[in-house]
Amino acid sequence: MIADTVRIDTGVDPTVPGYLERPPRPHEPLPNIVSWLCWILGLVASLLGTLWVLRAEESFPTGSFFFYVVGALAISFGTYMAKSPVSPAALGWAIVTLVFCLFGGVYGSLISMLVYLLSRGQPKETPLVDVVRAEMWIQSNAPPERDFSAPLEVQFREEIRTEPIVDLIPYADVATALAIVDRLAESDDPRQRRLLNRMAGDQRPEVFQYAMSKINELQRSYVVRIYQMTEQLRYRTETAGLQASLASLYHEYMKSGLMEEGLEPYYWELAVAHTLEAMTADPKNLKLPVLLAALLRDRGLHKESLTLLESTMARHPGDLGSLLLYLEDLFEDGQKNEQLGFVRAVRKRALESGWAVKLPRKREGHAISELAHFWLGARDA
Amino acid sequence: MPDQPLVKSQENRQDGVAVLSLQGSWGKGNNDGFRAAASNLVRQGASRIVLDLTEVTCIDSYALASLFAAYARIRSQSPPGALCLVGANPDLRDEMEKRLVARLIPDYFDLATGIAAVKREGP
Repeated sequence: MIADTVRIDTGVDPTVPGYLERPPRPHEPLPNIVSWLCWILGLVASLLGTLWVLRAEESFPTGSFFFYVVGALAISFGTYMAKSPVSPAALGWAIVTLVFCLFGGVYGSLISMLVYLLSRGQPKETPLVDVVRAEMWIQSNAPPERDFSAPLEVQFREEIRTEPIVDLIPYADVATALAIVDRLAESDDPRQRRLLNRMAGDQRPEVFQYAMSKINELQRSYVVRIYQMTEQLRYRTETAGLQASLASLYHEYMKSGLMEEGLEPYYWELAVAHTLEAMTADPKNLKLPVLLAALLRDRGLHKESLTLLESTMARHPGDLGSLLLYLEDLFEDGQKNEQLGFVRAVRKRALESGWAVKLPRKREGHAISELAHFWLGARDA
Repeated sequence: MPDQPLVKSQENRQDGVAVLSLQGSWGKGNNDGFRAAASNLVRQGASRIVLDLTEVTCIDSYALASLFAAYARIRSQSPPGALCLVGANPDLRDEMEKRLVARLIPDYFDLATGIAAVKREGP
């Protein structure tokens, strides 16, 4: 039931406009004179302790132990000073070198100093690009299989989709952000497109310019088609089909997630106007009331959209397919908006409506049949 | 005959109901007048609006689209507002019927009934 997921590929082509090399690591200064003095003192003390213990005759060489401890403490303090006392890692490094010195003697002291010196400038944590690569999963376009036998609430919960980890985007480095833009632009899912719109508000110029270029590229296909149809409307006399196509295109554009929010009311009005025009010219086209109902629903007029559909079905009881598909759409929308009450109301309305019994029988495996099973149950379908 | 403005009058009644009276032919050419008036009403906080269509002679799809936009805007208020039509003549009703949108927005024959209805359904 849960949609398949695919791992995002964050590999970015360096030739892509806006690509930037990862910024250099912050400069970490060489250890200061105090550190060097402490280290030399510690090494000498540790060496003395080692030599002492080789010549010692007593059971516990106290002098050797003293030099050992002094050497370890001196090297540990030297590391602490080298790391700078203000660094949060200074104490950790001091403890590590202390342990090395105490258990490794002269060799331990040398190794701990070498480890410290070689680790300078290395990343202190996993780069975010790897974190994102590991953590970011997005939904595939594979349609989920429905379990019609499950209760509605269970289906509702299982249909909740996992959103991409968009909160990471502002913290991702430029290369990762560009890879995410690419991935979002490839998706047909309006939610991913809206995320793409959000990325166009990124403060880094490379990211927002790249996101804007992708959005423009995607918008162009809609804008060109709208322009062509509008031009044709000016010259053609038989315009019912064209009006219907144009209204559908406006609706598709609005649902694509590419349109700016401020423009939506304008395009919504145009879509409604063209749908109504087409309905007067071609009253038998049953797709038009369905489109109008969808437009009304987009503006929150759920009751009105259902009323419209029911009056349409009362006039044309044979067109059950459109209505069932529309109910499916309503159901998904209700899920997205977590309107369980609305989803229940839609299902109840479908079950109560007289036209439901007109569904043709013996159509197992057909999409309409599956929808009917979903909405009406095995007995009524 | 000079073009008369679409919006004939606007009355903000003391009971909180705003009555917007339109006149003449309502279509694509003069739709902006209605849009502006409806936006002003919403901005002023009106949530119970009666649209008086008694003197409207004809209506087209663009006008109906604007009407639906205004209706959706009123209904999306929190709490939901109410808008109704009054006085639509049979020709207007036929036009709306042809487009299957009759009765989607409540309509009444006279102003008093419309005012009572928005007071009942409004916030």
